[in-house]
Amino acid sequence: MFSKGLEYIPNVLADINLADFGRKEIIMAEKEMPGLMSLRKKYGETKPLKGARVAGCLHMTIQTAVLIETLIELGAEVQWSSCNIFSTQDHAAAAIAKAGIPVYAWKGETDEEYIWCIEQTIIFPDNKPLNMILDDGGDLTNLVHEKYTHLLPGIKGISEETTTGVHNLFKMMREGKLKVPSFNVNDSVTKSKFDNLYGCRESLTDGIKRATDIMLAGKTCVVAGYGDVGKGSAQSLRAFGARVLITEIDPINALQAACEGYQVTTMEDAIKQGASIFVTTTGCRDIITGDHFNTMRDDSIVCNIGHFDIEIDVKWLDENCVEKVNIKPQVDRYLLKSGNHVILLAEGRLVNLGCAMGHPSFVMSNSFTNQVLAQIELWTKPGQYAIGVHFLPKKLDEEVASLHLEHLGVKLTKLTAVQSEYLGLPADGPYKPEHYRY
Amino acid sequence: MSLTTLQDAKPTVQLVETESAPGGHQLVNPYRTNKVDKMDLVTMAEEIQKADSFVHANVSNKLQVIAEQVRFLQEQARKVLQEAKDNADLHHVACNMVKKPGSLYHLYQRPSGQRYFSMLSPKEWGASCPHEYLGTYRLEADRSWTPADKLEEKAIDQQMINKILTCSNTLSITMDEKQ
Repeated sequence: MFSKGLEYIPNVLADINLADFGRKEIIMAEKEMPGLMSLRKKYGETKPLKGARVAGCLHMTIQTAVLIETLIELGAEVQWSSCNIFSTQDHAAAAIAKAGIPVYAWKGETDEEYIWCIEQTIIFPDNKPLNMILDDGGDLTNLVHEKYTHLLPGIKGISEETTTGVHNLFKMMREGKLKVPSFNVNDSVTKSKFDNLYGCRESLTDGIKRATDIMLAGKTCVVAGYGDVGKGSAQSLRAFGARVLITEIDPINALQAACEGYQVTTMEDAIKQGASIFVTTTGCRDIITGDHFNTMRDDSIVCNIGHFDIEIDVKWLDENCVEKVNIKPQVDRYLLKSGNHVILLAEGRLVNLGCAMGHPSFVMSNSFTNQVLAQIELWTKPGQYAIGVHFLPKKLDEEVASLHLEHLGVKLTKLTAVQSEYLGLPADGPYKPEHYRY
Repeated sequence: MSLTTLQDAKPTVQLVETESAPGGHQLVNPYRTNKVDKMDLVTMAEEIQKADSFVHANVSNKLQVIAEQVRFLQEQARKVLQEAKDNADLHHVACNMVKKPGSLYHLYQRPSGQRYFSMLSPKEWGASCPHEYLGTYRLEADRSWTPADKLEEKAIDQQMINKILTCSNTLSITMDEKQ
């Protein structure tokens, strides 16, 4: 049934000797991931994921290692690959491999190796196929739907981490191609309003600074897109004292940006205004193109924190530059025909993962607690969720948040019985209607 | 006189210059006194020729050894330069990851002609191996590359080097080996 007829390969990673370092960082991260750790406490005994064979495709970082070990603590078997060729933290992969968990990921895969890694996670030891998918970006979901269709009936559910993957799920649904009940983890409030916003708020500028050591104060920066990622990115750049311009296609987001005091303009105009740092957050394509590069100031810094590497036309740079000088890993300086330079970070892929350490553990604990709850819902309640794309129930979203409050010393106010009756809300939630936007 | 002329030229016997009044004593008939037997001259000439060829043979033998050493050194120099070139070449092959000494890397070639290093061996790729396989190399601590087929040889060399390093002096290993 396994079309490649390959021997089972237990893991492939960069350097197993990094395992001890990885383990030390995992222990540190566990303290900052209270949501996941309390799930271990709550479900460690009952093991609700027993029998689940979860194939995961999500940045193989220290935080993901805590997620993986939580799934295992809850009874699942897990095999892992990374959803970005540059995002693996090799010491995290090493620690996971040393713990005996199959992992196929290293920093700096080729595109072919990337697919190979994902394929290795599909079949578990003893030739048993996956029965759950935990995905980030949709590549694993698509691969299984296109190449391993015979395994689809056995798959109980998909939980999808990010916007791009959710778009892909909706597209598959529209085209009648989706064959598995799916959870949109991305649009849990405790995911997108935290990970995308507060995560990027810390890791974008971390990436730019690690890569270039540039002073942000006084610079004119452009943030393309004012969604959650754009909001966090813009706020972070502004906090350093940069002047931030926004580009938007959606009038609502554009108005939001304007009301926050950002100038909203087009990319062409932003370049005319002398912007020297460009950040794309759109999830769309062709945001920064050859014409833009040609008119930018010398040594402009260009990076992407959206999903794919097509927001910035890297291909144009490679084909039209006079010279490409690699300054250090993930930092390239292109000389253009005009004599100007462009500094490209992380080859146009996610700059916070390529040039920094991704999101901090605490914010990832929010996203990943959603992931685990989604996996539990899908695995323990087969048949309850039809084939389609679902949100986590509001109550679970609130639970994710409440699991993180104690760590921050938050004191929550309780509704009194009278207040509860006045508002017509149960005293212990859910407190908001589904359409509430936070 | 060069070595070759020494060998090829007909030897001429050079006799000591004559003196008709040695020490002020006028010889009665210098011609008679200095007359040489023709056969003596031939013998002497033969001696010289023989000596010349002995000298030549000796020099040739000694130079032969040096020539061999030069050839060996030339060969070694060529090998060192070739290795350096091969190593540099492999270091500049396209690669997405940071390579770690002690690890094996597998070299492939894309249809575009670009060569690149992969973490995966042809066996791991299995049937899905996407590109032409060119070879497997191990990155050494000194950042040189050892081709997979030379790994065993290298291990044996290293064993010997380790033995030398662990002995208090090299004399003792040569003596050990004799025992």
